[in-house]
Amino acid sequence: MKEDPSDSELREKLAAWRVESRLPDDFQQRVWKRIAVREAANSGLSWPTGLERLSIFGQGFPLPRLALAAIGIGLLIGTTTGVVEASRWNSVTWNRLEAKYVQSIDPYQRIPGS
Amino acid sequence: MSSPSIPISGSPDPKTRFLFLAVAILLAAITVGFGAFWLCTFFGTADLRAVSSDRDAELVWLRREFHLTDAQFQRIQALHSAYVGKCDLMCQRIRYANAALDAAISRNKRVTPEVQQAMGEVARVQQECQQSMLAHIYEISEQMNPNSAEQYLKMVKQRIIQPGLPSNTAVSQ
Repeated sequence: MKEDPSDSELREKLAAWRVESRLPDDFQQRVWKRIAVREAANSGLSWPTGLERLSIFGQGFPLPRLALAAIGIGLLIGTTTGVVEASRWNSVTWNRLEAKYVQSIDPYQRIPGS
Repeated sequence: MSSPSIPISGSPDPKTRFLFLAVAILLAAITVGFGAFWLCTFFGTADLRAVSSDRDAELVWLRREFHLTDAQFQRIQALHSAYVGKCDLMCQRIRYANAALDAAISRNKRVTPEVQQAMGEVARVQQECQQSMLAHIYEISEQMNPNSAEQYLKMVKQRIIQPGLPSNTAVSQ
């Protein structure tokens, strides 16, 4: 198979290519420093990091999703218990009013201990 | 070549920030929950609270429970007001009769004519009071629509006329 002339030209250029820029002197030090900082952040409790992965504390959100979820749950629980409590109170009060009416027409229920 | 930025200073510790935000979110959720609870209970019970604070709350209850019209309610209100005076007198007679029986039982060691008379008086007062009450109940029910009257009679029968054992209660042989 005959070699393409452009390939040999490319090979020559690649062989002649040299990287002249140098790494900074403290490049390795910086890398280790970043690793140390990352490890220090990950040590201890791991759950914040897990939540951060859910972009709870990510930038660009006007209100974190966790806050919305928590407030939504609070709203739901508050509303549900409020409706149940109002219903219970109304039922108790309705029965109390019924008893009050009965008491108002029954002399035996108006006398304590009779 | 510029060195990459390392976020180690200028912002709070991530754990501190997380805890602060978690507490703030929790407090906000609890506040919203309590607020929703309070609003639901406040507005959910507003109507009955207004009824309960009424001077004639029991009559307002009667009006709503048995769907009385304005005319029916006015007639029933008048009948009820007239009956309340009679009921007070009946209460007084029951108290006197009971007190007389109590005293007769304490004074005697066996069933004497005095005890029998006191017991008879208690039974007579009770019968008169029940008759008067039943007459009032029928009078009230006559002011209502047939369905409401039926429900009313059923209610008072359960609560007043037969407060003890129902008629179909099994009795031991």
